[in-house]
This record gives sequence, structure tokens and C-alpha cells, in this order.
Amino acid sequence: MSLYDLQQRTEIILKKYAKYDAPLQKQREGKSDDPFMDEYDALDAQVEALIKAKQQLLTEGIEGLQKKLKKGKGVTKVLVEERQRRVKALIDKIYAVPDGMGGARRPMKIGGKLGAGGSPGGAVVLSTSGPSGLETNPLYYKGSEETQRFEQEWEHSKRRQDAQLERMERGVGTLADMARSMQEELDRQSPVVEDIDRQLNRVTSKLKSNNAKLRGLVLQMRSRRNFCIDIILVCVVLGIIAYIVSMVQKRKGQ
Amino acid sequence: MDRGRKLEEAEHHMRKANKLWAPSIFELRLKPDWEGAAPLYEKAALAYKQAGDLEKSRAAYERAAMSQEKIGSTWHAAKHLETASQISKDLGDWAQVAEFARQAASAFAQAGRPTAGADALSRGAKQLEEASPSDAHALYSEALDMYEVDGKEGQASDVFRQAAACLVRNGKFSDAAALLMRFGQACESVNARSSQCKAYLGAVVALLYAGDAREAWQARVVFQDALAVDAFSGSEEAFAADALFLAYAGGAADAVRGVVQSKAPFRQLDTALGRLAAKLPVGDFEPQARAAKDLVGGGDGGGGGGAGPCGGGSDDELM
Repeated sequence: MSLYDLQQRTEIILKKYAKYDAPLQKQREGKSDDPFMDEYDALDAQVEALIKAKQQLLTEGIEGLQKKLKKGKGVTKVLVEERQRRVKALIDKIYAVPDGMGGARRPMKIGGKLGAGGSPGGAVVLSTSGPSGLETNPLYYKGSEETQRFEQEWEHSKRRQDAQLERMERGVGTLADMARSMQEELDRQSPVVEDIDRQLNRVTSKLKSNNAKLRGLVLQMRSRRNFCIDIILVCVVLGIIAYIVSMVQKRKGQ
Repeated sequence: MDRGRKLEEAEHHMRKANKLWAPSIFELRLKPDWEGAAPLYEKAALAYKQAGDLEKSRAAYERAAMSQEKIGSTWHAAKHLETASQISKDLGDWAQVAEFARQAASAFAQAGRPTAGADALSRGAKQLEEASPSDAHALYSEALDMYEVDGKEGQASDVFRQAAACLVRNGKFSDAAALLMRFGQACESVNARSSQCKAYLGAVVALLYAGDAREAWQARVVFQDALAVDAFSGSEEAFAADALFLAYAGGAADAVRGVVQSKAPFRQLDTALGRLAAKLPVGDFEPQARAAKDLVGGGDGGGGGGAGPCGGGSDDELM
């Protein structure tokens, strides 16, 4: 088998199994089948191509120019300098091209490309310039009637609430003042009440002890009195008996 | 008829009591019988009062008081003297009101209850407020002195307030301010911060109400003295007073009224002082405004300014 044969046969085999071959692009499409990513990839490829072209221009083209700087008929020093300046301007232009709009403004990645799958994609950028921006849409800042009415209602209720809160503040302030006065009054009177309590306790205990003493005394007296009464009664009885005995004796004597 | 009977009863008791007072040989009594006389005099006095004969009632109370004193129960004597004082008020005998009140107070003091004595004096003063304000003020001062002697001036807030109201009603604003400062100091001992701050604010208001430049200056001085007290500096009342001074210094009477109406402490003052505050500014506004401006602008730049309402003491240390 010759080399040519090998080549042909490998080509046939590749063609046969070409459908199983998954290039990078197709894979990406399979992962997130959204039109945004397609467009992005296409643009990316274009940018890469442009960059390559730029580089080519820079290196080959400029080099060629540089070589030819000193060539040509009737070339003076001034002419050479002028040509150098022109070459520098060209280089600048080349550099300026792919960067395009520089720092401030961003390219216009807006609009319908967002779709449903905006999140896995790039940043969402809203800009006042562009198809739906201020310049093209003069009604951008116009409030509708509804929003105006809503704002007025909000302000009105806010004012009402503020007024009522102020009333509440006054009422609460008065309450606080009364509470403080009450506290002072209670602080003033509680030692007085405690003093009264103590004195009353003392007086009660004294009364109790006095009562007990009195009771004892009364009992004592009663028993003493009973004792005396007993003696007197006994004496009376004896007297009566003596009288009766004497009477009987007198009778007997008679 | 009932009145007639009461009178008879009263006469009867009086006669008996008088007899007990006089030493007699029949009953073997060399010295008057105070103990027996006292309750009789009391009953007589009550009966006379109910019958409406106030003069005799007062006389009976006097005698009852003397009898009680002789038995040694000075407290009862003091009570009777106070009743006599009240009857004097009904009779319109103002001098006697004061006299009896003083006697009652000294009796209470003898009985060992100086606060009760001070209370009696303040009650007498209250009776005299309308008739003879100067006497009332004298009695109030005596009452406050008695409280101070006893060390219980913190309990005398009511007396202070009544005295201040009496002075304010009679137009003695600097006296009222002095009294209120004394009140503020008295509150210190019982930690009654709210009353204290209100007292100081009241003093400032009273002086400003006096309506001339000298008093306005005095008001500022009083305010700065008050700020030396910790409890006052940093209180709502101090801020309110400061705002009031600024309004005066600003030179617009409406500003002053605005401050008084917007700030809550002015509404929380005692009624007499609150009425004064509502009527501010009073008198010739211009010299007062100038005085206030001098004080607020100049004096505050120096030492007084450091002691502003926001805890000025620490500012001084930082400086």
C-alpha cells in the first residue's frame, strides 16, 4: 500500500464517521441552544479574524513600508521624516480600529438578543442611548397619570400620618410627665407609710401585752375575791350555827 | 330648736369646765382640774360650732388647748389651736389666723412633730393667700424653715409649689424665682429629678415674665447656675430654656411664642407658671432681646458657653 492509498482510505473512513465528529461549535450549541450564544460565537470569530488581520498589517505591511522609506527617487531627509510620521499615523490608525469605541461607551449589546437565557450569557446593559434610549424615545421620562396620582396619594397619607404621630407624641409626653410625677409622689410617701406601719406594729404588740396582763390580773382578783367570799360565807355560817346553838342551849337551860 | 338645744348644752359644758378651772374649797381642790376640764371644753367648743356661735367656739377651743397643754398632751393642744385658727378664718380675723397657726406650729414642735407644725403653718398660709398675701408668704417661709430644720424639705414639694404660685399671683417674680431655686435644691436630697428640672425652668420663666432687661439678665444667670446641677444639664427642660433664650436673642417675639408652644416642658410646668410661659414675651421686648443677645452671644463664648446643655463639663476638660 502506498502513502496515497493510506491517505485516500483514511479520508473515506473520516467521511463515513463524520457524523460522530462533534466540533467545538456544535458542542456549544448543544449545551445552551440559544440564539445569543450563536451570535456571540460568530462575533467572536470575526473579532479574532480582525485581530489576525491587524497583526498581519502591522508586521508585514509596516515592515514593507519601513523598508521602502529610504527608497524612491529624490528622497530628502525631510521627506524621510514625513514618511516616518505617516507610517506612525498609520500604525495608530491600525491600533485604533479593532478597539473601536474605547473606554466610555460600550458596544450596543441590547435588545432582543436577551431572550430567555440572558443569565448564563453576558451582562445586561441598559443605556440611555440606542434604539430605546432618550434620543429616540422622547417619552422616556414622562410620568403617566397613574404614577402621578400614586405619588400624590403617598404624600398625602404621609402628611396625615405625620400629623397623627405628632399628636401621639404629645399624648405620650403628657403621660410620661404624669408617670414621673406619680413616681415622685410615691417615693415621697412610701417612707411615711412604712413609718406608720412600724408604729402601728409597736402599738399593737403593746396592746396585746397589756391585754394579757389585764387578763391575768382579773383572774387573780377573781380568785382572791372568791377566796374572801368563801371565808366570809364560812364565817357567816359559823355565826348562824353559833347563834342557833346558843338559842338551843338557852331553851335547854329554861 | 336644735340650735337652741346645742347652745344650752354648750353653755352647760362651759360652766362645768369653768368651775373645774377655779380652785374651790368645797371639792378640796387647790389647783385647777385640767384633766377634767379639757374634754368638757372640747365638747362645749364643738357644740358652739354646730350652733353657729363661732366666737365662743374659738374661745372654748383656746381653753381646751391650754388645758391639754397643762396635762402635758401638747399634740392635742396643737390640734385645738389649729381648729381655732380655722375658725378665725371663718370669722375673717386674719391676724388671729396667723397667730393661732404659729402657736399650733410651736406646740407641734414641742410635741416632737415639727413636720406637722410646718403643715399647720402651710395650711394657715393657704387660708391667708387671698386676704393677706404678705402674711401668707411669711407663713410659707416659716413652714419651709421648719421643714429644713427637720431635714425633710424633700417632702415639702406641695408647700413649695403653693408658695411659688402665691408669689407669682402677686407679681413677686424674683422672690418666686429665688423660692423655686430653693425648691430645686431641696429636690436634690430626695432625687426628685422631674420636679427639680421643672423648678429651675419655672424660675427662668418667672424672671423672663418680669418683663425688663435686668430680670432677663438675671434669668440667664439663674439658668447657668442651674446648669451646674448634673440632673438639670442634659434634661429636656434645659434644652427648652436654652431655646427660649435663643429666641429672645433672635429678636422676634413670634419666635419666643413659637418656642413656648412647641416645646413640651413648658406645658408640663405648674399651672401658674405655665400660664406665665404662655404669655411670654411680656413688656418691652427690645431691651430684653438685647440683654439676651449680649448674654447668649458674649457670655457663652467664655466659661458659660462650655457649660451648655450637652454635658459641658467634659467639653471643658477636653479643651
